[in-house]
Amino acid sequence: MNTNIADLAKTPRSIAHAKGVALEQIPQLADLFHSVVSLEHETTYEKEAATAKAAKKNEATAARGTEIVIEEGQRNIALAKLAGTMRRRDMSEEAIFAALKVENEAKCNPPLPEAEVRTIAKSIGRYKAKEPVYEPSDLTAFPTEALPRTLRKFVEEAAASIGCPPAYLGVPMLATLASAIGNSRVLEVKTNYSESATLYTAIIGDPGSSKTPALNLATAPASKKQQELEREYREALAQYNRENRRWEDEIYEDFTPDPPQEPVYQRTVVQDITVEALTERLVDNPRGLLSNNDEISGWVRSMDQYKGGKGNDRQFWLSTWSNNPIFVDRKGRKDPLMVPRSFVAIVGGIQPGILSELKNDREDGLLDRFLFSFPDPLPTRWSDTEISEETMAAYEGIYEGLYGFSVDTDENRNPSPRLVTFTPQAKRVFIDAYDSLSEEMESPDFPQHLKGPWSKMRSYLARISLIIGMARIAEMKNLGPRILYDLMPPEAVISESDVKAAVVLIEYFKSHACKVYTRLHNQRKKSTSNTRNLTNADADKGTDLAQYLVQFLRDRDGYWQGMTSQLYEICKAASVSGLPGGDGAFGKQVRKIANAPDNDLVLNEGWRGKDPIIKLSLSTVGTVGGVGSTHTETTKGTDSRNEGEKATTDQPEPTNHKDYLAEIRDAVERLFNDHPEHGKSPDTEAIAVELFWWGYLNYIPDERDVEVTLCS
Amino acid sequence: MGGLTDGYVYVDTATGGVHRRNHVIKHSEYRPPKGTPDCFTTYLRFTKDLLDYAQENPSPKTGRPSVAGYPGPALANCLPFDFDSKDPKQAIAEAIGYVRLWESRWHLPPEALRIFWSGMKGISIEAPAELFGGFEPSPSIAKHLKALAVAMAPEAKTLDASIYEKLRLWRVPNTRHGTSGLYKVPITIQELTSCEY
Repeated sequence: MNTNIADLAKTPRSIAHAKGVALEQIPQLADLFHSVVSLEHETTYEKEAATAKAAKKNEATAARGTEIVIEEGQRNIALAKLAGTMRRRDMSEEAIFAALKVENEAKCNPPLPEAEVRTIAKSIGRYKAKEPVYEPSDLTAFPTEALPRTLRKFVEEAAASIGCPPAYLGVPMLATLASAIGNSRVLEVKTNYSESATLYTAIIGDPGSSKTPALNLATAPASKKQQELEREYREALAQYNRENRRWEDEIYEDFTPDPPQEPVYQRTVVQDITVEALTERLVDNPRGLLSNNDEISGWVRSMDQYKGGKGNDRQFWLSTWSNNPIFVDRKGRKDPLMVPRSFVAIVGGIQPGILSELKNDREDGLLDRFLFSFPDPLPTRWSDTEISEETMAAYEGIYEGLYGFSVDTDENRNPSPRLVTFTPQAKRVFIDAYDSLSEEMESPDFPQHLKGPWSKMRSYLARISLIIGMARIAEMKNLGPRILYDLMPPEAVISESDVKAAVVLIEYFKSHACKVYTRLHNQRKKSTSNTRNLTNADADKGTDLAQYLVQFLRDRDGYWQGMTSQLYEICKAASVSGLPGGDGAFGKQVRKIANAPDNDLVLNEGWRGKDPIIKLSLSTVGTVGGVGSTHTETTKGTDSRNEGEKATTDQPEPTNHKDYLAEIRDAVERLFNDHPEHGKSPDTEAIAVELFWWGYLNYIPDERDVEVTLCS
Repeated sequence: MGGLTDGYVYVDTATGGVHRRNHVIKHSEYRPPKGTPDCFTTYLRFTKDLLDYAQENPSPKTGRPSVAGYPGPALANCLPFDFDSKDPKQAIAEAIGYVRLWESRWHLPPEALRIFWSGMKGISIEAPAELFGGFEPSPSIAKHLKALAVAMAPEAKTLDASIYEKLRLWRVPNTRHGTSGLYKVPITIQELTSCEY
């Protein structure tokens, strides 16, 4: 029997408070204190102190001889951005580190530790020099610390148990919880503008990276709920059948009793389902559903599969993301199937190699609506770690808690989500983060291909705030006494810490969006170029060889020279299919490919000492015109000697050089149009790099050619 | 915090009722007489300036030293919460709820909190200043503490916001409540959550 608290107070007593607990600063509490203090009206005393402090700071700034001060919280991002700019200019890791050290000392207040500066330089230095590295937070790992304690514990334990990145659990977990909230609650951002919890998510990883087990575990509460609902449905159906038979027996000529109500099959999860079937499910499940797609590329491919590609599936998913009403006309029925307020959260996995299938050359914005997680793979090692039953139960408890929030309906019996609101402090944090996203997009440096996903991040900021806030409330419901939960209405507020957590998660998703879109952007350029080459090579039945040679040259900055036999060995080592039996025939095949009209491959012949060599280059790379002059070997015209076949003659320019210049001219015009600041610069080298950087060209042109186009 | 907090060792005390206040002494020197009910000290700490001020500014009514109107800075070693209600059940339940809420939201270990049963109708909780990175001495510290407490316990129905005054007296632990005869006692989080009330 428990002690009555009044009994404890009958005599003095002594207990050791905080025994075994380290009294350490909790950063969020320190932040909270500083934020409330900043809101308080300053007294004269404080004003004086603040003035003195500011004066001291100004003195320090002046002493450092700079006007720019990068404060705490911004230092990593600012230095990473700077490092990205330097890397774009092909600066080495060491050079970046040296420059960052100087900037760190000069501008950061206080300067970052040198080890952190080194980490930034190292991370940015990993990127290829010409590969866009826009996003400063490429280094972001999934921020489990932003999650409520129960969820954080689940993600960390489950990831350790499976041996996968925490994001593989965390991201689908958010979508699973989103589906539990469904149409029960929306966040009122301002009057007449609210955001639901809808999330479209995808985790990216190689085969065998444990995406599937992670997805299964993260969505387990929804699956478990589904089993429970199914059992209830079976029981209700049996009951219904019994009552229905009784009802049919009781129909009289002059009196018909009310028929029994047929039970509805409640669902939580759907898989591999057509849009039409999903619409029917949504009619029966006004809360909404979780669409679990183990392989999300299959989900994309299935769109419109029964309609010859002419259906509205993509439009359906675009509408559902915004919770719009859905109408589906059905054969043989006058009334359409109607979902007044759609809600579907999506989880799925995809391999990096087939990412481009998501885009599918459609610019309808569906891809922009996805939150991607593309973590670095972890080495697969056996782990004895297991997720505890207690942790799993706590996670399921939060899902259950969210699922327990009822879905209200309006006078037409349509779902009418209850409004959740921000606290004033939370609203301020939200507004700051929202504006920050917008300012990023408005920056002249902001890549065009990221504008779509960035614009959706603003919505996701609110959506994730809602999910975190509701999960926190559900957690409280599980952890705290029921009486408190009853005292505090669950729809009360989204707190400042909820929004701050969402901001951290958005930073994570931004960095991964950058990774995904950069890859897609580069793949698209590559595929455009390869398609052009293949078209010509196909005619010579040297498709694989032509494709390989293009990639081979691209990996070498567009140029290679050597003996045909050497190239033959290289191709054999690379297992290029369809190679002829000897290097003589191989040389003949290479020349055929290069001689095909409008081919990007250019073949010149020359000598290295007494050995005949071939010089292969890509006409789309600016070094072509300088092939003869920039290499020391003498070029002796068309004599192929042992090569057995007449080769392409030396030319001062590739045959399509005019097109090449026209292409540069066009790109320069577009660059100047989109980024007028470059029009004022006489720096042709910088312009050449910018043309590549911004994707106007898929190569860096020779600055002399840029100069020619500028003069013309 | 270093030297900023040096010298903040003085408190105002009241022994035998709040009306017996205006005895500024060092906190470490205050020993409530055994068995005397209603013993208090300020929960904020002050410098010797408070002692000087009290002596230099006697009460116009009594002519005795008075701390009223002291404008100087004070130091807080903790953030106090006083969940107080005519229905102790409600106050206790709310205190439990917020302790759990802080734990889930900020990972604030409940064991780090100093929890007291007032012996009458409420629970008081002291969150050590270390959890917040320390509070700098300030004339406005009470106002800051109030803002912080309200932010940490929004919508708390039983939170007594009147305690956030610079010279507010705070019942000394293990001293008796004059009315109920019960002691203000320290309790553990386990006792708080498992006790009947």
